[in-house]
Order: sequence, then C-alpha cells, then structure tokens
Amino acid sequence: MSIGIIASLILSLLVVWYVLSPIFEGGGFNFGAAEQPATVGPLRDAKERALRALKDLEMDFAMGKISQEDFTNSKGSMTAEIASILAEIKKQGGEA
Amino acid sequence: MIQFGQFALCLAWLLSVGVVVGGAFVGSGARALPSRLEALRRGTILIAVTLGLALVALGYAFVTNDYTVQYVWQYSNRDMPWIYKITAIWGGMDGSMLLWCFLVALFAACVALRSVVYPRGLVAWLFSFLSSSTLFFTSITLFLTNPFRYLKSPVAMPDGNGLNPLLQNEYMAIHPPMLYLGFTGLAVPYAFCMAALASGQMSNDWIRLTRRWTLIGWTFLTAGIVLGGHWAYLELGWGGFWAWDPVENASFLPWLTATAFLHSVMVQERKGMLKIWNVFLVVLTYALTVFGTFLTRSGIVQSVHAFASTDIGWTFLVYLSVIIIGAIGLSLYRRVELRPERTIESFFSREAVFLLNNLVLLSICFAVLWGVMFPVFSEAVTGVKQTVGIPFFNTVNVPLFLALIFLMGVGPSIAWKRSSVPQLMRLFALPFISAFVVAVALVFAGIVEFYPVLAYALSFFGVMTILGEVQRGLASQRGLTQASTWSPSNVATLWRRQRIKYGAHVIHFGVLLMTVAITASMAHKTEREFTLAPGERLSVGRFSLELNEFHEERQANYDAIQAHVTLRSLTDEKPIAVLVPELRFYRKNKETTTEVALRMGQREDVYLVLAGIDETGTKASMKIFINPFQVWLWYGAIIMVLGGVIVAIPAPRGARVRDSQTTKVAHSV
Repeated sequence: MSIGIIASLILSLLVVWYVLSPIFEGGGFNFGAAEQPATVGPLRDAKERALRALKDLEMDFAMGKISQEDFTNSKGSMTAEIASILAEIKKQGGEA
Repeated sequence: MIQFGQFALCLAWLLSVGVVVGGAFVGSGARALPSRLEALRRGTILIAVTLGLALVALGYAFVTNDYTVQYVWQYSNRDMPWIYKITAIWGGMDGSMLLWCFLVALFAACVALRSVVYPRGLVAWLFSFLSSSTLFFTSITLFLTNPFRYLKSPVAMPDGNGLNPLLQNEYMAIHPPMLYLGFTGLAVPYAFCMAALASGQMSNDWIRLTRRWTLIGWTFLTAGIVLGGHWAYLELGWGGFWAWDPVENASFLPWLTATAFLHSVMVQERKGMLKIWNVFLVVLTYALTVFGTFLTRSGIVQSVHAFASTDIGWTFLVYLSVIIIGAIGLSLYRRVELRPERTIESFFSREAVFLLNNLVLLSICFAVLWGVMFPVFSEAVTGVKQTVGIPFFNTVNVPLFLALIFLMGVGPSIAWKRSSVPQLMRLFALPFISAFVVAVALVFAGIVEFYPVLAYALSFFGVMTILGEVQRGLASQRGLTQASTWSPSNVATLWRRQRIKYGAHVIHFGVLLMTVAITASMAHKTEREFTLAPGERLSVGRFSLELNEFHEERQANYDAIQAHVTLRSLTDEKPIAVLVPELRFYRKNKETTTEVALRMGQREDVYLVLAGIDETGTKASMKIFINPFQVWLWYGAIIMVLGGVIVAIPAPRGARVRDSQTTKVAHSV
C-alpha cells in the first residue's frame, strides 16, 4: 500500500469521526439565541427598525438636514410607534 | 501525493453531498437539534480542509515537476521560476476550478465558524445552500475538469509545456485569487438569502448578517478587478487598463449588482422596503458570478482571458437555471413575507436616492451585459458574429456613470424619510456652486469637451459633499466632546462612533479620485507611433526621447530585444529616466510578448512599447502613450479597498456594548 492510500484512509476515518461524533454525543452544543414566540419575530424587527429610524432622525437633525418642525413631528410619531410595538411585544409574551 | 489529492477531492464531494442533503433534511424538520447542526457545521468546515489538502497535493506536483500529471505537464516546465509553478495551479481550467472550489468552501467554513451565534432556524438551510455552491463546483472539478488526471503517454515526459507567457507575471499570484475571492465571497449572501426564504426566517437577521459578508466579497472583487486592470496596463501594451473585454465585463457585472445591493439593503434594514428587490439583487449577483464563469470557460466569447473552448458550458447553464428557478419559486412561496412594510414618502429622501442609484447601476449592468452577449445573439439571429467595441460601452455607460457620481454626492447627504427644499438648498448650495466654478475654470483653461468638464465638476461636487458631511458630523457632536470642530479628539470620536458611515465616504472618495483619473487619462491622452535609430531624438508632450541603443538578450526561457531610451524633460534637458521596453520571444511556447517600459508620475505616466526592429535592423519602432493622472486611478482604488475593509471589519466589542446601551436608553422613550 502506498503512502497516498494510507494517508487517504487516515483522513477519511478522521473526517467520519469528527463529523458524526456530535450526533452520538447528543447534547452540549449551542446554536442561536433563545427562541421567542413566532409572532414576536416581526415585532422585534419592527422595534429595531423604529429605533434605528429614531436614531437616524436625531442624527439628521443634529447635522442640520431636517427642520425643527419636521423633527418634532417625526419624533412624536416615531416615539408613539415604538411605544405601541413594545407594548405589543410584551402582550405576545416576548422580551421587550 | 496525486492519489491523496484525488482522494481528498472525492471526500470533499461526498461531504458536500452530505451537507446539502443533511442541511435540507434538518432544516425542513420541525426543530433543528443542536447536535445535528454541529455535525453539519463540522462537515462544512471539513469540506474546506479536504479541498485545501487537494490544492496542496496539486501544488506539490507542480513544485516537484511531476509530469505524469497531465495538468502539470500542460502548464509548467522545469525552467519556470518556482513562483510561477505555484501560480500555474490556477493557470489553466482544471486547477482554477479547484482553487474556486476551495475558496467557496473556505468562505462556507468561515460562515460555519461564526454560525453558532446565528438564528438557529436559519443555519441548517444556510449550510445546505453554502455547500450546494461547493457541490456544484466540486462536481465539475471531479467529473469534468479533474486536475489529477494522469498524462496518457507511453513514455515519461522529461519536461512540460510551460505556462502561457502572458501569465508569467507576478500579478498572476494575486489577481486571479483576489478575483475568485470576490466571486466566491458573493456566494455567501446568496446562501443567506435562500436559507431565509427556505426556512421562513425572514426577519432582519439575514439582511444584517448578509451585509457584512457582501462587503467582504465586494471588497475582494473590487481589488481583483483593479489588479486585473493594472496587470493589463503593464502587460498588454496598448496603453489602457480597461478594454470592455467580455471577461473583464463578466467580473464587473456582479460588482455592479453587489454595489446596488449594498445600498438598497440599508433601505430594507431601516424601512422594511425593497425586500423582493434585495432578494432579486442577491440572486442576480450570484447568478452573474456563475454566468461570468460560464463566459470564461465555455468559449462562447473571444477574450484574452478566456480559457480554451470546452464542453462544460452546459453545466453552468443548467446550474444557472436551477438558481433562477429556485429563487423564483421560493420568492413566490414567501411572497407575503416579502411585501414592503411602507412606501417611499418623498422623492427628496435618502431611500429615494438609493433606489435611483440602484436603477442606474442596474442600467449599467444591463448595458454591459447586452454588449457582452450581442455577438452571441447576432450570430444566433443573422449567422454573422457582430462585435461591439469600446465606443459602444463608452457611449452608453459614460452618461450613466456620471449620473451615478451625482447621486453618490447627493445620497449620503440627504435625510432619511423626507427633506424640504430649503434644507436641500442649504446642504447643496456650496457643493453646487463650487462645482460650477470648477466647470467654468476648466472651460477657460481650454477644456471644452462636455463629458470631461461634467465629470470633473461632478467629482468636485462629490468631494465637497463628503467634506460637508464630515464638517456637519464634527459640528453635531461638539456638545459631547467639548472640543473644537476639527480637533483630533473630535475627529477620532466621530470616527469611532460613525465608522461605517465615514468608511463609506472613504469608498466614495476613492471612486471620485478614480473618476478624475479615468477622465483625464481618457480625454487628454497622447499617443504616438515612431521609429528611431540609435542617437536620434523625438519630442512628445513635455518630454524628449533619445534612443541610446537596442540589443538582443537570452534568458532561461525566452529571447528578448531590449531598447534603451533616455527620457528627458523638454524644459531643462535633464535626463529623467532610462526606459527599457522589451520584446520577448518564449522559445517553448513560440509566443511573442511586449514588456512595457513605464515611468509612473503623479502628473502623468510615460508608457513606452517596443513594437519591433525595422527590416534594415538599424531602427526601432516604438509607440508612446502619455497618460495624465493615471497613477491616481490606482490610488483611488487603494482608497476604495481600504474603505471596504473599514466598513467590513466588525465593531470592537466595547463599541457593541455601548451600542446596546444606546438601544436600552431608547427603550425608555
């Protein structure tokens, strides 16, 4: 048997052991964040987006890109939107 | 070692099949068990390891001159320097496919290493789609273009054919791998997108995760394209860097769509709009990378870059069909989740400008694609292959690029949601007036062509908007830092807090610099052919050239004729440099190449090509190009890539903690 064939056999044994061992070991592996109720996912997205929009709005205002009047109006509506999203998330049993 | 390489390739293929099928099985189950996900994750990592081993085995065959292997015999010989023996791994179809497989798998492995923090519902499908890409390319490599095939020869070959002389260049070590890293990196966003569609995990997570991976692929692709341009500039001897060659275009097409995605993804992240559009862009980008590979390897187009005509083109077409049909099917299945959550409120908003920018980028993409495919279509319809050249691409694309430059100035400065006209006037008055002054000054200076004047003015407009953004950003946070606007501490704080935003400005600045350089080198180029005998002189632009002598040289694998030309300034007659252009004849390959003599300068490049020696053997025929501001094109590209790196690298852990604290504060609103 050549060295190439021996090395190939060793490699394949190592690969099979490394890939399949988690299935035989069972637990002890962690993936992803704690799961929340399915309905919370879109609300969490909406919350992130609204917070982001608020941050952008404040940044745009600080940099003089929007008027005081537009800023006040938009901030009021965004704040109300965020409050209602947070309330809805709590209602659905998620972590606000 | 060859047996081992072949085995490693087979093992990678088997692992790919396992991860594709296993990922789909686990992903479609009710609950993805962590132990199964871990097995898939390890499988994905091992695909890269086994393909890496296969690549090492092939490299070993090249370095040890193992001419029993057909591919090694075909693309190397004993006289080649060792560095070209390594680069010869990807000098032909078979090895380049193996490299491609390895790089796709490497990206998949990098994703797998990070995957423990990704949403659990997404990862099984993510592994499946990532490995589907690896599986396709590994299948081609294993069954159709296997680089480990033995040479069918009754006697042992003492030497190989050698690498194409054009590829015996140091750029061969970096340009193809960089380009392939760009292409293969763009498989990651595709896999995320498909995994999100297949798993139904349509939250912002996949978009957030995809953005960084797209940037990584985009940065590599940018570097690869520019390196290719620089190589062409130095090696091909026609004085330019971009010829709208079909294979150059093939690399440019996914760059355009990836650039479009990097802008539109911000709109989805913030507004929940353009969801289906982003799916379209991600899939199109990946499809165009596969299409580019098809163009290069099918032989349907003529190009200096194309590999020899082969019969594997159909496999790419089948795979392309699977990608497109799969994406359409999954998008229809998830059409409810892909509905936009709101609409654009005002035309004067950043989201509207980003949408326009996307349309312009896609228009350029379509125009380039049309130009690439026109010879194929014309031959199919009329039976005669009609080609479109540089004038077509320039005529169509120059106005579109200028529109893009304008939008690039407007986009980052305009507010999200809506801007009022007085605010816009306040923001853009100074950049607009400065650009107008520049245009008038240029006309008075004698530059009267419309497009160059417009290009310079728009570039200046762009630079002014960037400076305006920096100024406003610094001024807005003076309250926080208690420092003066342009103080180093204020600048550092702004950079730390807004690294991604200002990193994007760095990229834009690089583009503007490149725009100026491209315009100057296209519009004000000097080009002249001449013949000189030793001792004779010629004046071109602000230089004079004197041919000192020419002679023949014999090197290990080629013969050369070298001319020695003294470059002088016309004003003071002082010698600036001795230029040595060469004509090389590679004995083994029986091919002639030109080696350009280049004197790079901040103001202009002097680019000298030796065309030949006349019949009497007493005079040298040469061609000279004076390319203004050419070097700034490369500086601009370096700045672009640097900007890409700045934006792509993750924020320091401390900054992320601070960010989450900001979010907590926002909760109290």
